Amino acid sequence: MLLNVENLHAEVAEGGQPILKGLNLQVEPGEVHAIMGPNGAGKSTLSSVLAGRDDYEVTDGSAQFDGEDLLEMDPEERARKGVFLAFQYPVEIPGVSNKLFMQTAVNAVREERGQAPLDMFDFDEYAQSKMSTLNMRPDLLERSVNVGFSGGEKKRNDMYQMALLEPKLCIMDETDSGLDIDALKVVAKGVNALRSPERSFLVVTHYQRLLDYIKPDVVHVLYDGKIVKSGGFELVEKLENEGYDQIIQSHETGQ
Amino acid sequence: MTERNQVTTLPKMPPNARALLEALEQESQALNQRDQADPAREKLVARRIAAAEQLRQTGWPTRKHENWHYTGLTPLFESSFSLAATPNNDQDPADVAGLSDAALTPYLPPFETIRLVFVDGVFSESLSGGLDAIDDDLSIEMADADAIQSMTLADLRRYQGVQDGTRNAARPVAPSDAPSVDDVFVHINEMCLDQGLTIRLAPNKVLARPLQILQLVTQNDALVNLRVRFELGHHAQMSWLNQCACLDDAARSWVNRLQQVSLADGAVARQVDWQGLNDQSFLSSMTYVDQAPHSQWQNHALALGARWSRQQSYVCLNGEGADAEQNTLAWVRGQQLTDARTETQHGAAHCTSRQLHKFVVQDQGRGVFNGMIGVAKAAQKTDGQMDNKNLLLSPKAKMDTKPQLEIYADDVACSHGCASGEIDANQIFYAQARGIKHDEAVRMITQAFLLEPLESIAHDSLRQWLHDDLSKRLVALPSLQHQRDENA
Repeated sequence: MLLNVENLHAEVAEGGQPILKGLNLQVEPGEVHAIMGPNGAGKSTLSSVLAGRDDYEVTDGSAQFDGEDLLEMDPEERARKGVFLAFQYPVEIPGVSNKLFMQTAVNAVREERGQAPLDMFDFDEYAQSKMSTLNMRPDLLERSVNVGFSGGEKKRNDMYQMALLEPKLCIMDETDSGLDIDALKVVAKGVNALRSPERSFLVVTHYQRLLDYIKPDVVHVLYDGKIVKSGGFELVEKLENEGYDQIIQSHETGQ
Repeated sequence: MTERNQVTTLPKMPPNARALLEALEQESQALNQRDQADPAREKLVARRIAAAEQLRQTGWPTRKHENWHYTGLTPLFESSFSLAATPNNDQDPADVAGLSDAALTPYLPPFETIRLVFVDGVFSESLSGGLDAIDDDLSIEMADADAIQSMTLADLRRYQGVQDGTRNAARPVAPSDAPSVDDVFVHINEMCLDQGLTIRLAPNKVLARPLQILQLVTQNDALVNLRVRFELGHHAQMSWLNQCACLDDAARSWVNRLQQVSLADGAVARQVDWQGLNDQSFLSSMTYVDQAPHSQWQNHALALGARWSRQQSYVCLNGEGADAEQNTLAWVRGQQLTDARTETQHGAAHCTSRQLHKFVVQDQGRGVFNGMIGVAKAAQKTDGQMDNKNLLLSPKAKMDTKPQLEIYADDVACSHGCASGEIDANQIFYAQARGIKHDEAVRMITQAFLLEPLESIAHDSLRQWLHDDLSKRLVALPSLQHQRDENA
């Protein structure tokens, strides 16, 4: 099993408001899981906790990644071991070139894998090879990280970073929010291009639209900090027609 | 000064401040005694006496003086300084200090320069190099009286206060040699004036090789008093690199430097002013730039060292179409205090000035910026911009900043701004989420922030060399995580 989350409880570090309240999730290598749910269900918190953002504190439960305790690791350690977080809002870093940023990142991951670092020339070649898969514009690599990028370019850049780092688990944190249909296709195309029997995806989204392009293997509905229903792609269609109300109601009467 | 025998009583001051002032007076008197029999130095002796008297009248600035409120002199008073000893009988100062070429290695850029090396303020021929590239169009005088005769205080005063195109209208004070506490380091420079360096470039001459002026400090408790003058003829062009460094990390020194730059019509001067003094040392620096029509002045100041430093620059755009760019890169750490000040006076129409001053402050460091753009009535169509941006890397780091505009013309485009803050936690997390370690992320972001003022250096290999040097220095940053945890 690649990811095994059991009874995960987490709260906001400042203030202590509980968000995740006993979440269970198992992801096998190669699987694409979608996490859906209404606003405030805890979708973004789940992504943040798995990636290691210190805005949240885990109060109970566990998360094993590839047999190791994920929650004990620093964010950079998780990334080095193969967890990739695609951001809802990719961050701008003025003055740091995308190329230097990604060369540093790729070499960090290579170090973890016991591979020699890529020098400037080797990295250029490697970066070039990944570019065509995602229709990445070469000039974006020369510019400062995400500075002056359009919304779509930022997402494309995140997908490109994902391709370069070759992670085992890609967490897409509502990466489709605020995107027009073309940008949405960029994300979907990126995910589909990178799908492999070893690589798993956790696609966290509020909308079903993205899933129409990605076609997840498993769909979960997250509500009030727990997964209340899981199923196949047919669950997406059900949600599309009926909304969350019915699932939430049957969950609450079931309690 | 006719009443030179009348000695002013010193203003009230702490005993150590008084001790330093009196020590400086003795140094000045010793120079005068040495020179009293030399008729060529008669004028200079009189000037020293006058300046000593001025210092006596003003005393030291205190925190009550507006321009010194954030830049207290207390650390300077904790030490006693005497003028750096000079070698006897035309000995090369490098021989006296036991220096070989190896001492220069860290300061040599990877391109050819005309290199003038000074040891404790004295020219060292053996350490200098590229002097064969000096031709008739470039004159470098290290001699005494003649070279410094023109550098009087009244001259310098022309650079201060908003002018109406002719004379100070906003502050109707005729230029004078009246003493001012704001000019305390000018008075000291004048009363200890001995040697001057004058560099002249003939009209229309474009100097291909940059000039490198390397000031090495070796002596302990030594005041190195420097006076430098640059004169560029019309349409002449040159660039130079000032470097100020200590060879002994434990030796405490005080470099007090006064520079004048005079640019004739269409002249272009580019200065990189690098200081990497040790953590015990002091730097007081004044630069006065006088710009004729269509001349260009570019200054990139890198303040990386010194326990205490204050660099004040006055730029006077006196002719139409003149252009000035002044950028600062300051890295302040430990117990350092780093003060950068600019006064940019637009005295003529259609002039442009650009400024970007960036500070990174960590540990208990203190940064001070004070910038003033003045626009005289006659200076229509002025385009002046000044930006000060500061990154504070620890809770105890402090930055005091004061950008100012004083405008008397009605058709101008001027702006000033400042922003101080921490690194955005989202930027660090974003890098971490890509596998980059926290400290590496901090260094990357800090370096990118700090390097921006250097981007406009046109000389590629100079810019790259300064980049590389800075990257190496910023390895000292990883203490940050530790620092953050301690303060949490």
